[in-house]
Amino acid sequence: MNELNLLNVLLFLPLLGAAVVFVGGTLNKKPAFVKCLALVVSLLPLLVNLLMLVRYDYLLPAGEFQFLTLQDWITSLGITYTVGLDGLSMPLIFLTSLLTPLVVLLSFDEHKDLRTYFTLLLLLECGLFGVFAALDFFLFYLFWELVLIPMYFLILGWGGPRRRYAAIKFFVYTHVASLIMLVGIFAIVFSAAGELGQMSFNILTISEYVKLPLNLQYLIFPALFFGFAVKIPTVPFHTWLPDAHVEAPTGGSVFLAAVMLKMGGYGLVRIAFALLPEAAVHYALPMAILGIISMLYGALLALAQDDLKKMIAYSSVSHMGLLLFGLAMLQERAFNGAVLQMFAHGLISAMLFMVCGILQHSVGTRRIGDLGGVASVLPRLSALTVFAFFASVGLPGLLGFIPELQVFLGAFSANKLLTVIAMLSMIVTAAYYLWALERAYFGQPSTDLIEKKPHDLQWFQTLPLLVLGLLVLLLGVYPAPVTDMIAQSTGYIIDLLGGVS
Amino acid sequence: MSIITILLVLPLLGALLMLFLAKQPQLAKYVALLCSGAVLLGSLVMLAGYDLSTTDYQFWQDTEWFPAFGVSFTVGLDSLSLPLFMLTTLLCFLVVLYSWDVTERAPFYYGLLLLLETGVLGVFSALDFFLFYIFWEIVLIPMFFLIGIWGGERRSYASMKFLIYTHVASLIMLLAIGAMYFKAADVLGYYTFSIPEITSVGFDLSFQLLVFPALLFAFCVKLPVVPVHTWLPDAHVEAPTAASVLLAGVLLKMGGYGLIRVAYLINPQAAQQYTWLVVVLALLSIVYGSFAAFTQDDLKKLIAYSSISHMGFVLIGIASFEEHAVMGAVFQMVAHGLISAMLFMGCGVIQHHAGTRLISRLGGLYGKMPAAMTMLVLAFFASMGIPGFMGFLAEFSVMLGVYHAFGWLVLLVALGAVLAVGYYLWAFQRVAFGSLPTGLTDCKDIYWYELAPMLVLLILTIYFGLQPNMLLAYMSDSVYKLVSLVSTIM
Amino acid sequence: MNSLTLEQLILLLPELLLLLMAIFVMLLPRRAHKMAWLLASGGLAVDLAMCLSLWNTNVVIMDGAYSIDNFAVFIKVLLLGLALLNVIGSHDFTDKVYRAKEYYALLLTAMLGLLIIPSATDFITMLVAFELVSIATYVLPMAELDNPHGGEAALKYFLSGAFASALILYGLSLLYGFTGTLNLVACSEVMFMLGVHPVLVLALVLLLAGFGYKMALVPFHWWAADTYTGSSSPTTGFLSGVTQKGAFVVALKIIVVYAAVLSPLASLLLGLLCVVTMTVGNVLALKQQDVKRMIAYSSVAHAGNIGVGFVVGGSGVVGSFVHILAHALMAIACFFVLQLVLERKGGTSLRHFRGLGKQMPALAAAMMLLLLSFGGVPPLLGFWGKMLMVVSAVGLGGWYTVLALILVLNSALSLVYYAAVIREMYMRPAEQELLPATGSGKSYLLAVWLAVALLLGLGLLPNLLTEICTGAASFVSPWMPW
Repeated sequence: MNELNLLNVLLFLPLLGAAVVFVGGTLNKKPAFVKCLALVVSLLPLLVNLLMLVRYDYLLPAGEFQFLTLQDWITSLGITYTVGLDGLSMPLIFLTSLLTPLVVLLSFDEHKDLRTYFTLLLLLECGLFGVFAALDFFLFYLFWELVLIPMYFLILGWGGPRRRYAAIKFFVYTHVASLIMLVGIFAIVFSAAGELGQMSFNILTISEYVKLPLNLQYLIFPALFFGFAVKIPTVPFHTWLPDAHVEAPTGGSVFLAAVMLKMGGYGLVRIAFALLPEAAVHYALPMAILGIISMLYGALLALAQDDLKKMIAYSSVSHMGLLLFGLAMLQERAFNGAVLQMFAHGLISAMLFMVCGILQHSVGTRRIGDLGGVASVLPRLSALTVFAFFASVGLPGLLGFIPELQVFLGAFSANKLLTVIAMLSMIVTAAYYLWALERAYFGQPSTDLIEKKPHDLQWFQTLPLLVLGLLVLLLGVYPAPVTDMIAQSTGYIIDLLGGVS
Repeated sequence: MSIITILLVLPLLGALLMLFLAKQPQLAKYVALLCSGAVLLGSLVMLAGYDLSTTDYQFWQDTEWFPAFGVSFTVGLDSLSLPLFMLTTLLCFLVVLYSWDVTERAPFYYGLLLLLETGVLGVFSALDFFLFYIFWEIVLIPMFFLIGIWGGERRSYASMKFLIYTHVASLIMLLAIGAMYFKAADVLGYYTFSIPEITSVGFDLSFQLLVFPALLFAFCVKLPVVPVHTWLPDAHVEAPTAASVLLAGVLLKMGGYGLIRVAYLINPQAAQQYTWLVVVLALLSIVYGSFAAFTQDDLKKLIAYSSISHMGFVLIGIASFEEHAVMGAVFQMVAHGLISAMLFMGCGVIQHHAGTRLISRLGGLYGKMPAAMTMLVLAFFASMGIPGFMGFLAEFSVMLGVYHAFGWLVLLVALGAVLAVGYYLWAFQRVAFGSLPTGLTDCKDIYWYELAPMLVLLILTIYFGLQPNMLLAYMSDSVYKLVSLVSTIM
Repeated sequence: MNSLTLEQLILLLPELLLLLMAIFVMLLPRRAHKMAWLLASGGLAVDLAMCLSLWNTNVVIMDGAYSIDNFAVFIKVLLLGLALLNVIGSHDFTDKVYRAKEYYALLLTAMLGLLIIPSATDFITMLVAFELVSIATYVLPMAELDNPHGGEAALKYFLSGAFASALILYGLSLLYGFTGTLNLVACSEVMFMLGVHPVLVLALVLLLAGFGYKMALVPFHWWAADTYTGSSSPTTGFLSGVTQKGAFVVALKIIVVYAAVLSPLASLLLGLLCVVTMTVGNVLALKQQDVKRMIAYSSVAHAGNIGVGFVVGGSGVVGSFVHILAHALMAIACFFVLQLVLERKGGTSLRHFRGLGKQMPALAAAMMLLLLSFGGVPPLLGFWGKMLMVVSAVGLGGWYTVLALILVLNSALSLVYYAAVIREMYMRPAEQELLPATGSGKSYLLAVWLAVALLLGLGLLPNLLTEICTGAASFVSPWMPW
């Protein structure tokens, strides 16, 4: 432990950054200064993260963690400070550290209380890092809840007209889920304490030495699943998401869709599947069906939306259904595809919400019915929108295609009937995106729209979109770096599940 | 002479000094600050001298007082009382600071605060039932005056209700003490009121079954537990902020402390027999308190009901007889002491600057008093059990233990935590956001002497929320004592 | 035939001195207020010293008709001390009273009777002494001519007292007819041999009823409120603080006599009486708007409290003794406070107490402490007596626990109206200005603060007091088998 663990640096850098931004913003209230400060501060974690990527060891066997720190914390409860990374968490961490500076950039046209806004963004980043890096139940739960607070304030302070309702709904909904999850964790810990002879909240210790009895697994799994399913979100626990998205500011939406939803999927894999494999197998079919329902129902709802942002929100529900479906198929390729879907959806949904936010900002409305012919007024934005929509539909050559391909290929070998039903959602997805494009972006612009003379993309809006678009394109063509990383780490979980290769 | 005795006498002297300050009321606050500051410093010095390696009572003093009946002036601290003792000295100091602008009958006011400090410190350090009872009763008087003189509109009703309710409870406790005194004498062969000696007697079960309910009732009123909680909301609503802070921060803890020290440690077998009764009461408190908090329009009443709910965590923690839950209960007492102090201070700031605490008449305060609102919402977060604050660790530990002891019953406990999120956030949103009522357009932000105590509390809450090891080390002995008692029974 | 020897006469010096003083004060010129006060207080002080010197003498003189034991000495010292306190405080009062010397003479006469009661070994001596007290105090409320209610108070007191005496005499005649002796110890022995008999029970009931009047136990309390309220406050202080306590001594002696045979019945009967007394007294006090009447009813309730200790026996008796002292101190001081409030604010009803905390801070503070002591809040002396009674009652278990519970609940109930007075003093603004002082009022304050200091001091260091009380009680409680 003499060597400085970069992961610890990464974890606490945003926290420090938040303090710096807050203090700096208090001392110098000039918006330009605050913006630049926030940008610089948010770039630091990204740099550290890139450094970590360079040092990342691709050859470590599955189940091994890198950048591991293990330290006693609250000894009387057996709580430790344990953080570490593997192929499951690394992409998500990278996603988080990448999105933060991009969101900061994108928010350059924000006016209201910049200091607090950026502070909250950085706090959010810290919480997200923590969730993905924590390898101790207590620490995990701590960060899990910590994430809620900045998001709550982002919605509450910078949201739309119904922000207060949305904020509290978001908080209470997810908090209920967290507490149910907590009870599940208690159950695991006590059962493990019986075997270990002492209390331990350490996930590594528990997964290594403890095999939970079957009947207990069957009991605990639903509790944990509920906790994560709300976060994912899976139909029927999804109702907080559209509200939160509609009301959240663009920056908040981006984080919400791109990273926070992944917490659910990550938790499901890391905790529910890895620690309770027998139960996961036991409940696989209901989960798969839930996943399919989410895919179809989300897609159909998206089709019915008039609000562009709400449509994207429901498309997220649908895409997250794919994640659940892929995991529940218990098949290696599908499983990896599902995990990759988290990363892919993170990049793509970030783009989607960004373009949507920019549109709202320059035109003043997101309602498809009020729009039309945006392409001729805002050509650059529309081009990027089309790109993002196609990426989300799953156009081959773009990143969105690869996880879908993997999941359906893998799933088909496991259960043909379900896969066919699931694939129906792809048609609906294509339908709502194309229909939205047709109605909102093509055709004749209304006189209203022309008279408004809306801004097209400004540099600080173009840059994040380009960065994301480039990544989507590059990884779509050559996904090996990510897929290898994932495949390397999910192997042991799939083995536990007894998955067929 | 033990340092505890000095710390007990110091505020009393300060209170007496106030008698001579009638002509210079402006000096009163300095005297009070000096006095409570000295006590705080003294207690810190004492803390430094506390020996963690032994489970005995420390800073022990045993002076014969009333030997014919086995009464003596016995004080001492162990791991159960030490944290509460420290909490008291801290909160009293902060409260004096917080009430920096009190001018109405200032010497009387500060004198009462100091008297209260003596009383509470006495309760936590007394190791003789007689002394314990005397301090227990002394606490009532200054609180009665604080509510009755500096309180709100219905102060007279509230102060009387407070006095009578808690007095009845303490008299019932006296009965139980009397019974234990004689029963212990039968066994020991001599009369003594010494708490450690009576604890060591080990009464037979039939006797315990009689005494325990009386003690339970007495302490539950103080805690308070539904259905004997009704004095609390009234008292809180009418009490001035400083009194509320001490009431919620310290006085309620007397109930929890008594419950452990007297009811449980002396009558463990009966306690075990009555477990289900206590659990039901605790769950009732948790759930009912939370629901009641939802419906309140008065911010202070909301916090008062949330206190009831949080004290339910203490009760169920103790009742479960499980190591972690008991630890959590003790921890919750300290945590709630710090957090509720913050809550009531934040509420007091609103009352002070906006002139009302009714949520329906407030709104949009975030624009007017951002610092105050930030402190308030942080206090809310701390209280609703967000990880990172002390409150979470306490609730976490209690729930952990409750799960171990009672299984899925923990979901009801968790329900309390969920509801807390709901009522706090809802209240916060209505107070801090929305349109600003016309009357509040020129209200000022928090003053330094209001901010400083809240900041201290916040820092402590977060520090102990993340680094509880030290605090837990101080508490673990008492927890171990209680839990091991039961394991020897079973 | 043993005649009185000189040594025995010396033992009787306190009584003789008091007799002399009473006569001497009577003979003073009409306007010698100061002189009368000086003689009375000086006489009482010297008497007190003499009685103190008799501690641990323990002899029986005059053919066994007069016993000077520690119990008797304790009671004597106690009552003398209380009377002295009352006399000291009365200085300013008697300055204005036309018949000051009669006032003191009557007071001294009553004290003479009170000195004899604890030493009496037979019923006749006891009764005669008690009548001496009664007759002197019947007149006492009338000493102040300009008190319009004095006459009524005295008349009610007299009528009830005469009725009570009749009951007592009838009870005694039954007892004598049945046992053939009026000596307390002999009577007790005869009873022990004969066993329970309806006549004995009837005699007991009559005696208890008779002395119940004197102690103002419910249902024989009806005179108390009127007499206590009607008399001027220093007189009331003496009545409730000193003479009423004499009745308790008598009651105790009777209980001891009966203890051997009728213990369960007697204690049950008395216990019931106490329960009713406490409860009724408190409930009635709760409804009063006039503080003086409130304190009068509370005195009734406290009589019940004291009785509980006798019922319980053992260290309960010690509690009773402590509570007798405590209540006497509180009552005397409280009535002085009321006198001062009457003089400065024109009345003693609750609204006259408004804002007293600001207008007369020292007086209000003293009153607050007195009220808290009344309510049994530690560490004041009013707490200790109750505490000892409760603890010993609980120690006995059985229905005594219920008794203790009722005592405790009553104590809480009483706090309601005591706290109401405190509330008026401190939490309500004054409605009127202070009236100009008619006298200095210093003697009232002196007595009040003396009492408060004693309450506080003995409350903090009750050691000596309880030891003495235990010593005194040990002369009584061995005969109390329960």
